[in-house]
Amino acid sequence: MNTNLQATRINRLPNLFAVKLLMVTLLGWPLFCGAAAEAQQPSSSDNTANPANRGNRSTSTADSIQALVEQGMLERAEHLAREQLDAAALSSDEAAKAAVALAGVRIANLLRAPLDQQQAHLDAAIEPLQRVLRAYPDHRRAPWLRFQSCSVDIAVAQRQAAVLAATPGDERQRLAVLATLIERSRDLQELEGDVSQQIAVAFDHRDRSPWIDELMALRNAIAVQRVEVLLRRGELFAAGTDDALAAAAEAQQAAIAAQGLVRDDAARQADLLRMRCEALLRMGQPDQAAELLAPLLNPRTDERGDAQNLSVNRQLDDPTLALAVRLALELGQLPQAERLLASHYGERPAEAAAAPESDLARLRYLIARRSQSAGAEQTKRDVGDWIEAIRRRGGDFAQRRAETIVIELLGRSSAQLSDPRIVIAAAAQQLRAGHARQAAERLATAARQTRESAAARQLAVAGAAAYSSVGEDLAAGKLLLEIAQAHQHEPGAAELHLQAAVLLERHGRASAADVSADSAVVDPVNELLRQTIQLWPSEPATQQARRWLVARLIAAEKHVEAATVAAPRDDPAATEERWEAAAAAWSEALATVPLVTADLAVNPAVERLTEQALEQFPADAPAAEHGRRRLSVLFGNPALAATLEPTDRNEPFIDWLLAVRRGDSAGAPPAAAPEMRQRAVQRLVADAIAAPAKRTHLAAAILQLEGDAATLPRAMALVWSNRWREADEVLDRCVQTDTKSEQTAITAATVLSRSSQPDAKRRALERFAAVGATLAQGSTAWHEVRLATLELLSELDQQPEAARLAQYILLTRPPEDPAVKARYQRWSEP
Amino acid sequence: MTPLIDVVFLLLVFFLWTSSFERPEADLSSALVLPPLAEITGGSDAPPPLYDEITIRLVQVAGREAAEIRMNDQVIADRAALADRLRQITALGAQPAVVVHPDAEVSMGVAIAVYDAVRAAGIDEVLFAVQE
Repeated sequence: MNTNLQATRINRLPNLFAVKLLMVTLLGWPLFCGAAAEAQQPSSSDNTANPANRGNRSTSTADSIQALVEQGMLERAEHLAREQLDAAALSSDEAAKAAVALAGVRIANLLRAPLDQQQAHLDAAIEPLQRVLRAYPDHRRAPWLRFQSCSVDIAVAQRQAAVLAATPGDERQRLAVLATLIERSRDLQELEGDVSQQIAVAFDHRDRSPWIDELMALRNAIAVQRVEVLLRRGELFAAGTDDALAAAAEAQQAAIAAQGLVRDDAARQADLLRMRCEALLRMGQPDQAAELLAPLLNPRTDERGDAQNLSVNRQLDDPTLALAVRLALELGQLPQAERLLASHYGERPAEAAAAPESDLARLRYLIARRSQSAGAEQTKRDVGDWIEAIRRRGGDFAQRRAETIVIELLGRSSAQLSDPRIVIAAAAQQLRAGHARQAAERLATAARQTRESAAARQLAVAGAAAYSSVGEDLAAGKLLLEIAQAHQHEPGAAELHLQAAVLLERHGRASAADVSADSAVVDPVNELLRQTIQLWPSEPATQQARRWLVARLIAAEKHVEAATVAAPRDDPAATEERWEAAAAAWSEALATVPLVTADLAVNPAVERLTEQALEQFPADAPAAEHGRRRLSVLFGNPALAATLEPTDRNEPFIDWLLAVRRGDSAGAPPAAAPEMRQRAVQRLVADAIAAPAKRTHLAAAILQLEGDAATLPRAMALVWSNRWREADEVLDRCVQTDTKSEQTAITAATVLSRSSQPDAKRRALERFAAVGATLAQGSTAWHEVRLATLELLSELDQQPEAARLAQYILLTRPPEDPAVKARYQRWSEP
Repeated sequence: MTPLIDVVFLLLVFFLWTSSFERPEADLSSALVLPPLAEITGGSDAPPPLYDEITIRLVQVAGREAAEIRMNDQVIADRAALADRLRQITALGAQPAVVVHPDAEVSMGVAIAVYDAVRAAGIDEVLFAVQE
């Protein structure tokens, strides 16, 4: 069953998100390389990352490492960084640079690793930094190492915060992340103070060397990072709460302070401005935020103030676009949001390159547009379509963030969630929060209320999965059943119905209330499967239902029912293969009833059952013809077999059997499965019993099939071939091997009694006497043996002895059954 | 030398003292039938007789003075009826073995009387069934 509601863990973040975190983490690394040269001229953050001293070997290596990381070649990057670290003296700048680079590579590894392996990767990322700091606590580059160490922790915390945003509800995890962010924020503040102090000392010494520039670049990076951490911290609180407002206010203050520090760095100015606007938005001041952000959106139109510093030809990046859209939506400027998104996404949004932030901003826009144009089907569908697009573009993680936004904006009322995909998204969010039952009920209600079949089906499947996840298979099955029956003329109804049967059967097994073992009670699962077959005879699911029902009935030893179900009479498109399967099922059913009874008579029940079987194979269905013929040859009476003609089908054994039954010369029997040979033997024995004139011919065929096996049919064939002494030996072996049954001994005596030779009959008399002595006197079997004895005595011309014996039994053990008594009385008459 | 008459006298006294006047049980024409100690797994080669043995149970029913007679689980009115039925059987020329199986509560006198009745009907082989 396809469902989005399987509660899988988020093990990996989408690549775009990972890259963003990675860039944050690696921030400390380029600072080494580029700050000195950049100090004299403002440049973008991309420029900051470019090393100025390209002639330097270590800088070239750092370049290579960064390039390798960006290309995803992490193993090679790590090897290179480790080699560089091992080669350098730990006290040197090169060692510090290599340690920072190695930590950066390892954090990149961490961001790609599953969450449960996070701690090991974290330890590995911190290790090179600690190695240098432990050896040289007062290392000249200690602030960079400390900053990188903080960045590693922050990257991990941000990753966890992102997971929490998509999967809320884990309070313990939330507090852990919050604690990490608070601690690292404090560390950054402290580090910023230390670096500022070093800068002041350097200025006091009137030192205008590149060292001061490097320190200032580091301080700026720390300031920006700190604002980022404060903002992220605020996301861990519910929007609008005092904690969230306090965090936003603190972030805004930090952003203002940081802006004062990075006047010469346009890129950082822009980042800080955006973060400040974000903080203002969270503080409930979207007007002010929009005013501040305006220069970033239209840099050429603004010629004053901060905007002059920002007026570079830079394309609107994803975080800024996302923020601008959110601000526009907050201010009710839907056209403005639309314009921004149109310029970014073009005419085919699903194919445009954009980060998850922008995708989520567009989702917010679509939801806002949907709310304004209530009733427009297209806008309703757009939201669902876009959630799917987000999943395709950003994976499960992005989809879950989208679902969280849907719930936040559309509320939890099912009435507002008319698009099944949105209902499913909302339910999925509930499911991840651990409220599986509520999710299931929400989905079930929506499924029942939806008139559109496809949507109802989708919702019912998701609802059933949710019910199943909490072990409520009964509710899940009932939901699917209800929807399948309500939309039974729609595609997929048969699958739902079958799935309902699966769930109800599982429920039955789990609660040990499966009534299939009790044939007196109608089995609900079997009934459901019958309904599936009846209502949707040609659906693929019906074939599965049919196979399952047949298997269940066979397991309950209801072979005839199973065979009847197996015959696809109601499906005119049934293939020959399916009819073959039905014929095989009927063969099994017919084989459960002995063709020859214990008293060596043909069982009339088999003939009736064969007629019933052949009725299932309509004569006007060519695909059924082969199965019908096979059953007729194996189980049909001699009259039916006589009407059959050999065909050109490649079934030599069936053809051989038919030839033997028709009295034709057939030669040696072709190879066949043991059970097929056994059925053939039974059929030939029955034919021989029914037609004494053919016994010699049929006995020869039986002997060919049986070889030297010690079986009753072989003994019978030997008797019919006037070889009664051999038959007697075979019967001895039969009785010896079949220790459980007195019936075998009786049948063995009966076999000999059917011989035409007096000696064989006398031997049969001995056998009857022997077996009679072992039976309880007066029992039914005992009387049968005694009556057979009387008959044999009569056949041996010992009528007076037979009469005496009959009278003796009437005097000493008179039977209770009047019919049996009457038989004795007939024999007792002289 | 001791007179011969003394020796004869001593021998006479010896035999008088050692003789028993009770009739030995082996002289009675009956035997005991014991329940089998273990399941019989094999039989003899000789074919079993056509006429199965007859079991006569003597059951002491509460409230009745006389023991009830059951021949092959059929209740027989009295000893006379039993003797009559057995005479019909012997008239067929059959000589089945008859096992008399008295309950523990049935007196020996009753058992002997039934035994005598069976013998009187012409049955040669009469056995008593006992429980160990």
